[in-house]
Amino acid sequence: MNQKLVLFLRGCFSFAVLLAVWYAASNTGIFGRVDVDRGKLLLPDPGTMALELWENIKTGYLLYNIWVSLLRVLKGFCLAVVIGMPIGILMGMSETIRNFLHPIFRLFAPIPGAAWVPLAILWFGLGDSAAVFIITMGALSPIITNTLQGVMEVDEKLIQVLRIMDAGGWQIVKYCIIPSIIPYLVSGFRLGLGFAWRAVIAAELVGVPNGMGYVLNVGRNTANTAITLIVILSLGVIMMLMENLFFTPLECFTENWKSKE
Amino acid sequence: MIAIQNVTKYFKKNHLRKDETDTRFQVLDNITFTIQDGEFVSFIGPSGCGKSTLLRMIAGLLPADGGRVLVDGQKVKGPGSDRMMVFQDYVLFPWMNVRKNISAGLKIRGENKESVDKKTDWAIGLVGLEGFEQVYPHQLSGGMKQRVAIARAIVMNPDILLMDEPFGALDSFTRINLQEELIRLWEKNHYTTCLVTHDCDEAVYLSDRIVVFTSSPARVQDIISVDLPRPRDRNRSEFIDLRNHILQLGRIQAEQQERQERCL
Ligand SMILES: Nc1ncnc2c1ncn2[C@@H]1O[C@H](COP(=O)(O)OP(=O)(O)O)[C@@H](O)[C@H]1O
Ligand SMILES: [Mg+2]
Repeated sequence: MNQKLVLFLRGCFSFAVLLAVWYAASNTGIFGRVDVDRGKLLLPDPGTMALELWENIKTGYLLYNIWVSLLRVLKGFCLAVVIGMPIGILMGMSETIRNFLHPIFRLFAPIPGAAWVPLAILWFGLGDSAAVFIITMGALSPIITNTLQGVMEVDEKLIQVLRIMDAGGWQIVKYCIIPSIIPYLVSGFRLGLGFAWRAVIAAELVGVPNGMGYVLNVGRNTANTAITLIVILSLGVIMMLMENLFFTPLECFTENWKSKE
Repeated sequence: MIAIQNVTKYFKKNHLRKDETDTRFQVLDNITFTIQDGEFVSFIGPSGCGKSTLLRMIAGLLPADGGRVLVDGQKVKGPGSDRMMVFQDYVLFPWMNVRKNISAGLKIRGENKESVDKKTDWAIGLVGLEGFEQVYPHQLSGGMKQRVAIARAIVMNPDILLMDEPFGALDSFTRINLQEELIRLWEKNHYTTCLVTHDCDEAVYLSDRIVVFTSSPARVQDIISVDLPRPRDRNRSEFIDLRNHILQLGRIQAEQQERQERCL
């Protein structure tokens, strides 16, 4: 049998089992732990969820809020790349810059993006700017760390070859640094994007008045468990899509030349 | 002309013993000799004696601590494409195919597309890489990789070709093939060539002169002229005598080095 088909059927089987257990849990009051009615409230069965999903797609409410969060993540993440990549490259290439920035970086890097939420709200008010700021702060450190590590591990001899060819600083970056750090960038971006999503959800849970995190809260406050669960699952789906549409192709690209020893 | 005048070089010691106060050790001690335009000179000596260090100084990748290196009367201040280098481990760009590896230097120099294409084709033809243009380095054998590295050097039309044990990692059949091709290339274009090697046979086969170094620190022990007509016959008695003579010099060196190490 065709391998893709096998993979697909296996996936179907996994989800079928998950849905069955879910359905059972929902209709037996979480296997007899609570009343059946309360069980349905805590964990709506897949059918109820599907109806709720359809309702929210029809009104555009769900997609609108996904779009809001997605746009924030993309803005904040791109900002983090635009700021973080040059900083990482400069730190890697110049010992002076590295020595100067490293202590500062050591202090700021471990701070979780969510910790910036109150400050961001104070500075930017409850809105887009605050969310973008938090996302940028959250995604910046993994991007800088991985870029820096990649540059530090560039083959010194390749740079010597370029210097012999009279290459200037920018040409060394273009012909050698960028191509050799791509694998590091992929893992940096992956981590950074994960951090970005955490940060945006935190910001929207705490106060920014729209987006997916906001809907999560609305679901809780109105006892609409279904919509909360739908948003949670949407997050998973979005992350999976990003992985497949963005990171996997980038990795395939480097497979082209990476030595397969 | 390359003039190496009283060149001295120190490196920092990696491992310091407690009682040691001197944090550096001498690699090159007062090296002086000259290489004429178009001459093929080999450096031979015990491994770790400083041959690569001297070559890197000519390339301008490393400054001298004492003395100076002159190329055409000008002090070497940094690397430049008039002195192209070929390394033992090829050092190709893994993300570029053969053609892009070879043309990179021309593009960096800012030549127009037509000239880049013409010169790249010329270099590819010269080292026999036709049909491999689109292949990536990891798909090539060692000998083919070294061909790419040589093409990448000569495409820049350098005055000087610096080669650091270029055939050291190749099997003996490939090595002999490439030696013959290198000498053909050199006869066509007469690059001033410095080749580091530890293979006496290779040195005698290729060189006009062979500089023999002592070790720790390196001094010039002897400079041997090879006055054999080309193409050289490795079975001729003069060839064999010369090779054995150099081998003998090297063995004495190696013995001394071992004795020194045992004393430490
Ligand atoms: N950048 C460096 N820093 C410190 N020591 C070095 C450096 N490069 C080479 N050496 C040392 O200098 C000596 C000569 O090295 P090298 O020129 O590579 O020798 P060879 O090419 O003759 O084998 C060796 O002992 C080596 O370990
Ligand atoms: Mg060496």
